[in-house]
Amino acid sequence: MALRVLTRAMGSLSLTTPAVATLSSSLLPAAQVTSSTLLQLPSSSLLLLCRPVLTSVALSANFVSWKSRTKYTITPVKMRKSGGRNHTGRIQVHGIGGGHKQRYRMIDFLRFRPELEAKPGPFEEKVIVVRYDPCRSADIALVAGGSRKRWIIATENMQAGDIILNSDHIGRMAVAAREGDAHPLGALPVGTLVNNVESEPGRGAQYIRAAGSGNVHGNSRPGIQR
Amino acid sequence: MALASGPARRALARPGPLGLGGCGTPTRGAYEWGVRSTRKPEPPPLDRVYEIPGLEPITYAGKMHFMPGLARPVFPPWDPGWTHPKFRRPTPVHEQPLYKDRACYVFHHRCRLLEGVKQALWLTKAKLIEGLPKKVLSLVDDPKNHIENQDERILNVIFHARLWHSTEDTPKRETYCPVIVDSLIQLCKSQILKHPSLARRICAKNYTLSTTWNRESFLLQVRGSSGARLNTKDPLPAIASKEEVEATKNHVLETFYPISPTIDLQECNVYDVKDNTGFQEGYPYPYPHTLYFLETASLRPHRLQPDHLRAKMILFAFGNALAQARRLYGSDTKVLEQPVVVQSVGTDGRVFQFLVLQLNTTDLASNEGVKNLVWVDSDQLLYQHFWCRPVIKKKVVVEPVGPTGFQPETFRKFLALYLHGAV
Repeated sequence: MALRVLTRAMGSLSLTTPAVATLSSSLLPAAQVTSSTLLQLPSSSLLLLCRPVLTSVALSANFVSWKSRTKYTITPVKMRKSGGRNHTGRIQVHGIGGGHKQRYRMIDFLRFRPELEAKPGPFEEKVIVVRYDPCRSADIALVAGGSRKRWIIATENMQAGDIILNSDHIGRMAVAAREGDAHPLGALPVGTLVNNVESEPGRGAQYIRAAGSGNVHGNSRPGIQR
Repeated sequence: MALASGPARRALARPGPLGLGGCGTPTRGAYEWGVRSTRKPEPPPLDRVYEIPGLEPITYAGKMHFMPGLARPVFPPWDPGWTHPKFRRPTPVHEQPLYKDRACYVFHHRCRLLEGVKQALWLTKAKLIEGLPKKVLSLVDDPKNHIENQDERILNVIFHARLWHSTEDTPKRETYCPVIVDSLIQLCKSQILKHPSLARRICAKNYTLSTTWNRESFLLQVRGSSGARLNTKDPLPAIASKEEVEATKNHVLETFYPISPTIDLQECNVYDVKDNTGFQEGYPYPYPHTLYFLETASLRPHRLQPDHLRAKMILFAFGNALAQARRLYGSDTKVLEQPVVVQSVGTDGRVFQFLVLQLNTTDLASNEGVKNLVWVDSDQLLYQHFWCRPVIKKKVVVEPVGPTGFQPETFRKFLALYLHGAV
């Protein structure tokens, strides 16, 4: 329907009316055809019958996020940089853009995540390698436990070959915490330096993840904590 | 339910996000991978009428159009009766004929074991001995076994593989690695005049192997085709004596807690348990002698590391030995009176790994008892580096074209492994 309107409108915008065009092509040469067109203006009624047509249109932003992978993997995944642009394509945050190309390594921030067929309860993992991550300021460590491998944020003195413990158990006595282990905050003694803290159990670490960060566990309330 | 729509309906269905949350469950779960647009959308929930058993819901299916107030009908999936060959979907895993509940851990030629040789030794219940056995080493040093002009001919082989046989300036590893191995085997074959029993051998490529065994509640399988295999008409004699075999009873296999021994193995539920040596019953050269593994990828991340290559050699040699033992002595698990010996050579064109495996027992389920023996000679350089173009500094040739750091010892070991069993 839009095409029909367009062709009708385009048809009405011809330089001469059809009758004049045939006469002029048979009798007069091409140079004189143009002069005759200037005298003969198209009637205004033809123009009023058609709608105005837009000959240009704004582009829509085809933004598809690069985060399409649903399954966890340790191989680096290709990513696209945003340059500070949001889904409309315009700059939302200035000053972002450029830099070396990076591949994203999927980090597992939920430390206490037992394997599917594993027994419930605290489990241990071994650190395979600690390496640089271009996407963050902290280094990352590849840990293997059972028959799965995953990336986690590496603590300061973590080295290849260390054994780390992931636990969700809170006992009556505070645990003598080693560096790299993961315990609920209620099981740790007051004054331990913690990082990769989650606001509620099972949420995943969202706080204190950058390099050089660490916070003192200062909660001295007795009783069970969430 | 019909009044609420969209987010309100989802909020009523799941009690979590309103902030109440059960005791211990988080209000929001851990991060889920994938943008919502790429995650599969969950199907709309069924009407509450379907939850009442024995009640027949009144739907608008008969009316052929939507009617507010009537339940949403549930139709069986449509079966068109025919499938287009371009759009055929594979049958789901549970319905395939070879599906089994017990998972099988398969090792194929692309597997890279995390713990490398240690994991391979645990999986094959073997004890590692550094260095080749004395019988083979005696063949290395014996001057009678040397070829005339041996060093000169090996240098020619290296030049030919790395420079002469291809028209490129620097041939890639995919071209020069198989050429070097074939030429070295051809050099070894020139000894047929001295030892006529070398003629009772044949080289086979693209063979498929498949063996299955139980190892402490895990079902393991070696499958695949990798490299070339040298077959003989006569079996290799056992290397270790009975006393040494009995002495392995005291050896304890190394475990690597907290890592499970099946890490990096492919877990699958669709598999076939039968053993397949790769050759039919009446094959004239029934006994496996040596396996040759080539690492031909030119990019370093695609190549197997030496540790992974050695683990792959151990597992494939073990697979061949086990299939052979089962074919000769039956499939029941026992200690073998005549152990099966299989050799293996792995290379990437420059660095060679030599391996001799003696299969003493097929009783692999328990950790005690007699163990198998593996002799490994790792990281033998044939040459340190090969300059395809000369290094010229200030109009003086610093490094000429050719190999640097040539070690003839490596080829002598290669020849000894080839002659073992025939000399």
